[in-house]
This record gives sequence, structure tokens and C-alpha cells, in this order.
Amino acid sequence: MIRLVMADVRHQAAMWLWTVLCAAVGAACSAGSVIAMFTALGAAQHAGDASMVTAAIALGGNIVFFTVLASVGVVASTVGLTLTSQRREHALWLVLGVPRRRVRSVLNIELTVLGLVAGVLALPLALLVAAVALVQWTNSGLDLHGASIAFQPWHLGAAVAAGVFPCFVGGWGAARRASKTPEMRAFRENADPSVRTGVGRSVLAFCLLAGVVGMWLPGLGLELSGGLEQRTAFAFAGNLFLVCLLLLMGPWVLTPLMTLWTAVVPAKDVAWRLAVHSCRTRAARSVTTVLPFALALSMVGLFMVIGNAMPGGTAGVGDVLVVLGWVFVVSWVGGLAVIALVGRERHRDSALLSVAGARPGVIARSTLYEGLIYAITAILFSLITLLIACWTIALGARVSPLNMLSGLPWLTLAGLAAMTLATPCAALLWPAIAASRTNVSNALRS
Amino acid sequence: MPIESNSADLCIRVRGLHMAFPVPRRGKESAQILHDIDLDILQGRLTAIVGPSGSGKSTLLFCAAGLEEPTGGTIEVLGVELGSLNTRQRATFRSEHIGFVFQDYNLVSSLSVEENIALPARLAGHKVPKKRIREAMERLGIEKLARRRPDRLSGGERQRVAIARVVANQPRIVFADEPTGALDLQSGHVVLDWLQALPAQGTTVVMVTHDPLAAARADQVVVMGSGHIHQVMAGGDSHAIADAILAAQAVADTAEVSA
Repeated sequence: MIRLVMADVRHQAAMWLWTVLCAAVGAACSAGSVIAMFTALGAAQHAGDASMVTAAIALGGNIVFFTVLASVGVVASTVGLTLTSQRREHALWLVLGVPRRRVRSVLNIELTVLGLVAGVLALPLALLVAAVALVQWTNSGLDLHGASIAFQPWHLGAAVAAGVFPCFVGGWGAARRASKTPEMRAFRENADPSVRTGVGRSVLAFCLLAGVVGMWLPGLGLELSGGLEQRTAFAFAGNLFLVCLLLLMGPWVLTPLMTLWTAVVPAKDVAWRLAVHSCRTRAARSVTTVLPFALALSMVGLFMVIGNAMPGGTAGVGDVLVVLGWVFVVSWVGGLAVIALVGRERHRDSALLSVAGARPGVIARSTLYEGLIYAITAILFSLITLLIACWTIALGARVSPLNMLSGLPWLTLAGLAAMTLATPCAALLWPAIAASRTNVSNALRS
Repeated sequence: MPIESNSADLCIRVRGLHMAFPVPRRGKESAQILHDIDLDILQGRLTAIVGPSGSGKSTLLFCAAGLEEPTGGTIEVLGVELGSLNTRQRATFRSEHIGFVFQDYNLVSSLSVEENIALPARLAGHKVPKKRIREAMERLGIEKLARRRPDRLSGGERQRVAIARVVANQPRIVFADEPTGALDLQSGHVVLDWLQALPAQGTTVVMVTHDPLAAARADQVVVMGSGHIHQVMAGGDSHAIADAILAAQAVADTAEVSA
């Protein structure tokens, strides 16, 4: 089995590299935050500063939670794409007599090995992240009693665990699906397999929905002993659950959103039409690409709203980055990895378009437009969640939603939106050039 | 080995065609796939290119279609020297004059059947009359599949869509690479019937095939062996074509042994 695992990893190295990159960045950010949290905690305990102990746990815990969540999401996306593209080979294993359970074990071991490698690679970066985090916390007003980062053996354990956990958890569902796909269907189907709700997703969605209702009811409708601050906090928590719920149900939220807004754009340009069709057809792939950007943007928007609503809070990008900076890094790397992985699928369609007489410029433009569609969908999703957050948190805080909206740092938000717009397009620039230069005969023969 | 023809009737004129591919991981070493090919293909005819595997049939087709740039020689298609066109001009030339039917992967996966049929005209910047697309689909019996995507079609249905694309866009030349290779007997017959009917509308069809029965439907048959044109013969007799392929194979084997 080990031989099969190693041979498969070697053979698919180019694709797995992106998963390793995402896992390594996720591990560096998560482990770095854990290291920073425990370093700050140790320093606070040493100085006997009880309030700083609580602050370190609260702030560090939040950062670790969101970073690990983003890391699992991003790794799940890249593993899902990688295993989907290898489904014929896994079907061949089944046809040749490898039991389904063995296929699943092989894939899980592969993911664990990759997570292990990512964790080890992430260690130096994790120390750097921890050092940066401590500086950020100090700048945001925490007294860390001179806490500084020095390597300790457990840091390696933290980095490895932060590498293995997202690979194992994020890849669990994808490995299960890969081992359960009927072999002949895997052989026959050229398209992405259709997305199903699944029991796990349904249960999680139900829990998140319960969270939304459970938080919004007291936050928006009840008089609480903690006053407006507590109501606002409940409304914020409800929004947090809502964003997670909407992203979990991405195929049923992001896809219709993408279909809706692309339908209202006039489509005379053949390159635009091709891009729209490609994004709509490969809905699962599109959702995977949009998801990291939508996650990062909507979280930032949400934190800016709460920063604006809370008494004494600020909606500045610096404060948001203290909590969500690493989420942003992980999500952005994930988004780029997904775009790179998806680029491989364009090979044959680009060849066919070229055969049919598409000029190189048309092929390149249609690829770039795909990036534009992903980015605009992410921005629209974030805008919708931002408006919902403004409305509900304003209700909780008993202020006018319009006042809440006008108090937001729109320039910063516009800058982030522009960055979101530029990133996928920049990431697709090289695939676009490569697609326009596809060697047609090679692509059709392969 | 050119066949006798008037230059006015010529659709494709190949002279001294050479094609070599670099051998992977062997530095500057290259494998010669086509050797000094001379070939004339007449307008409004069905020409079949046959030969053993690795004889250079598909490479010759891709070169003649302007999809592969030869390492030597000239190719004139409809009086236009392909070597004088840049990538953009070749793409425009293909969208206006050339249609394709491959063994598989004929259709752009993200477009529906209807959109795939309309694609070449759209790429050429023309408005495609919907009536013409509907008629083409009706003639091929695929009107009910108009909104389906390629991954929801059988192999035979996909080939019929590729033929409908040719019928609707009426290109002057159709290149078909193993169009029946992945089909059952009946679907294969349907595709061949259509390809055979196209020359009656003035379309030139060049078809690469392994099947002597399919090649026998052609007006002329080009038999290839190890990168050379072994023989150019008339269609009609599948046994004669099969014998010619075997002879080409034998010559290739002998050459390989002596090399």
C-alpha cells in the first residue's frame, strides 16, 4: 500500500503541490497564531496579569478558530478538485480489484503524508507569523509584558498538527466520494460530478441555521440584561453563523447569484459568452473558486460593521486585520491555488475553440473574463451579507441602518473589492496566455 | 505522389511536406513523422487517408488543416498558402472555410448542442440564422437534444452534433479524424452517410480512418506507411484498400528492420 501511496503522490505531484502550498500556508498561519497565543499567555501568567490572560485566550482563540476554519475550507477545495480530476484513475484501481475501503485508506494516508510535509515546511513561517502577530497585538493596545518568540520543540508539533488537521478533515469527504463513485460512471462522465447535499452538510447546515435563529431572536427581538451591547453581540453572532451557512450551501447560493447577475449583462461578445457558459456549466468548480474570496471579503465586512456598531469600537482595516489578517492570507492563497488547478481543465476546450476558428485573443479574453465573473460574484455575495449585517446589527444596536451604512469605511471596502477583482484576473493572466497558445494537435491527441 | 488534376479543381495542394517532432528528453533529437509528401486533393470529393498506426495520417490531416505547422514544404488550401498566414489569420481562415469532425472531444463542453452548432459562425462574426441551425438538427435527428450539454450525450449523438455543425455552417472543407472510431456500427453508418453526402453540396471532405470499409466510400484513397504516401487509389473496393494498408505496413516493417 505504501508503494501505491508514494507512486500516486509522485505521479500527481504537480497537482498535489497546490494542496501542499495551501496546507503549508494554512499551517503557518494557524500554528503561528497558536504559538503567539501561548507565548502571550505564558508571559501574562508569568507577570500575574489576569486580564491579559483572558485577553490572550479570547483574541488568540478567535484568530486560531477562524484561521483553522479557513484553512480546512481551502484545503477541502483543492483536495476536492485534485481528486475529481483523478477520478478515472481511482475508478481504474477499483476495476483492477482494489477494495473501496483500501482506496479510501490510500487517499487518506496520502493526505496525511501531504499534511505532514506541509506542517514541517510551515514551521519557519509559523515562527514568523507568531512574531508578526505579537507585534500586531501590541500595536492594538495589548500589554504583552515583553513576550517574544523563541523556538521550542512543541512548535514543530503545532505546525505538523496544523498541517495534518486541515488535510485530513478537509480531504475526508473528497476521499470518501472518490472511493464511493461507481467506477463506470467515473469512466463515462467528462463533466464535474453533480453536487449533492449529503448528510454531513445537511446536519451542519441545520446546526448553523439553528445558530442564526438562536442568535437573532434575542439579538433582534428581546430586551436583554446586558443591554444594547449584548443585543448587538447576539446579532453579530447570528450574522457570523449566516455567512458560514451561506458559504456551506455555496452551490445553492453562489451559483444562482452568478447565474442571475451574468444574465443581466448584455452578451454580444463571443469571449464573454464563452466565459459565462464555462462558469455556469462548471458550477462546482466556480463555487470552489469564488468561495475563498467570498469568505474573506464577507468576514471583513462583518467585522467592520460590528466595529462600527460597538461603543468604542472601530471599523478600521488595521483592527479587522488583527483578527482576520491570516484568514485573508489563507483564503487568498487558496483562491489562487484553485484558479491554477482549474486552469488545467481548460486545455482541451481551448484547443477545440482554436480548431473552430477562435482567435488567440478570444480564447485569452474568455479565460480572463472567467476570473472577472468569479471576483464579481464574490464581491456581490459580500455586499449582500454586508447589507444584511448592517440591517440586523443596526436593529440590535437600535440605530438607523442608514447611519450604520454611512459610517462604514467605504473607501477601504472599495479597495478590498478592487483587490478581489484584480487577484483572480492577475492569477488567470498566465493561464489565459497559455490557453491562447495551446498546441491544438497535442491537446486533441492527449 | 500527386494525382492528376486541373489546378482549378484543386482544394488542397501539398508539396514537399516534412514534419518532425522533438523526442522528449533527447536533447535536439527529433522523430521524422512525414517525409517529402506531395498530394493534391480535389474539390467536392471525399478523400480518405488510411494506413497503419503511426504512419502519419493524423499529422498530415492536422498540417493540411493548419493546426500543425510543418517543418518543411508548402500547403495551399483553397489557393491560400497556409505558411503565409499568422496564427490569427489561420484562425479566421478556419472559422470561415473549414469544419472538423474528430473521433471524440468534438464539442466544447460548456456549450449546449445548439450553441456548439452555432459556434464557428459566431467566432467568424456572422449572425447564425436560427432556422438553419434548427434545420441541421432536424436533419440529423437531434432537435430534442438542443439544450443538452455534450457530457449528457452518447458517443453517436455527439458525432451527429459535430456533423450538424458542419451541415449548418456549410464550410468548404471538412476534416474528419477517425470520425467513426468510437461508434457502434449503426451510428458509424449514419456518420459516414452524411460525410459521403457532403461532396454533393460542393464540400470537400478529407477523412482519416483505419477502417477499409469506411475508406471504400471515398472517391480517392491515400494509403500511407511510415510517413510516406504509399499509394493513391480510387475508392470502392474495401478488399483492395485493406491489401494496400497491409502492403504499406509490410514495407514499413521491412524499412524498420533494415534500419
